[in-house]
Amino acid sequence: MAKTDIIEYIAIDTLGNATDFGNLNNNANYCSSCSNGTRGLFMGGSGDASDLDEIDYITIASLGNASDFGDLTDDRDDAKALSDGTKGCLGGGPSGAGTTDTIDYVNIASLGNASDFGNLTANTQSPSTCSGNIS
Amino acid sequence: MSGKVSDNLGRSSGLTKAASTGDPTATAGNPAVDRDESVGTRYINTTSGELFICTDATAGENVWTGQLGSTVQPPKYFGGRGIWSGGYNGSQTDKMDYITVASLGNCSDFGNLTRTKELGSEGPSSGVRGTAPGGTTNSTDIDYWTFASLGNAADFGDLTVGVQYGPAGMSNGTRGVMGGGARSGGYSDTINYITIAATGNATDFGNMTSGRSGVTGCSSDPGRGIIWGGYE
Repeated sequence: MAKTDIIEYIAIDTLGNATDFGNLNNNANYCSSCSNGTRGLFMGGSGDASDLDEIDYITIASLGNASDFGDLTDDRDDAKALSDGTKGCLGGGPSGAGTTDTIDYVNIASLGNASDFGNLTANTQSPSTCSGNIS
Repeated sequence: MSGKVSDNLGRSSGLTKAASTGDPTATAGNPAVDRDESVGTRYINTTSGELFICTDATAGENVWTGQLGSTVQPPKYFGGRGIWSGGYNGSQTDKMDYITVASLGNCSDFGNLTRTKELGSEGPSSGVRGTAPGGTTNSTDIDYWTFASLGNAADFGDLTVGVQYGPAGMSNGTRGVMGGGARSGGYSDTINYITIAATGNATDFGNMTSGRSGVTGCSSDPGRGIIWGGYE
């Protein structure tokens, strides 16, 4: 029983089992991800020794290991992320100061560190995330 | 035009729509969704030979329809409204918060899930309809809502395996796929799928490389789903 660095993939159109894609930079549990359709980001998580502030990325069309994208504003695990195809936002989750209402964001196309987006209506961990059209 | 074939020697002499004047752009690969042209503009993929016509000209989010059946269009599995639903902080909650992702700022109230639950999942989206799978104590719940209308979630159907801290959610805009999560007595390697537009129970898709909880998922064009990390 251990935290893993597994990245695997499926073809959504085709029923079948998942296949190995590559590896994360860290073993992580309670993790979160988002994409712009081309680049996938892996944000935070509970690492082997502590919660993580790392953001890893992959080019989803190309199998291989993750690379460093930048850092969150704080260590976060059990938060959840979403995207509108341009910005990736990570909200909630325990950090060093306890469970937070913080939302971080990055521009998915540009490597770099996360910035403050705003706040959830309450401190929250283990939510579910999703995004869709406003109208 | 003169009306006489012999008089129409220019390339555009027989064309009546401004957007289609001249030869189509000829380039290897399909047109990109951010190729901003007028409706009716033609484009040839020199690798496949497929002719595309711009059928929706929205800056950065154009739709190109190919005569061999291909369609290039913006992804449908995400959009400008983001929702965090459920969770835990001393007690479980049924609240649903939303943001407009393009505009920095705080969340506002969207509505409520069908019950309080601690999920740790991503919900597959069709762009129109969003979902929240799993929940407390190995729940088989799938809740859903319509993004454009603030309000409460409703019951979509059930997962084939009840999970929490997952599943990892993925979507191609039509099919929603969900894999992994903590289940009673262990960790699930089950991958389920739903057709997001049609409520109903999930069906078996396949299996992950190992059973894991605390996983996460995201999606890409053209239809690849990624499952990351977790505890096995």
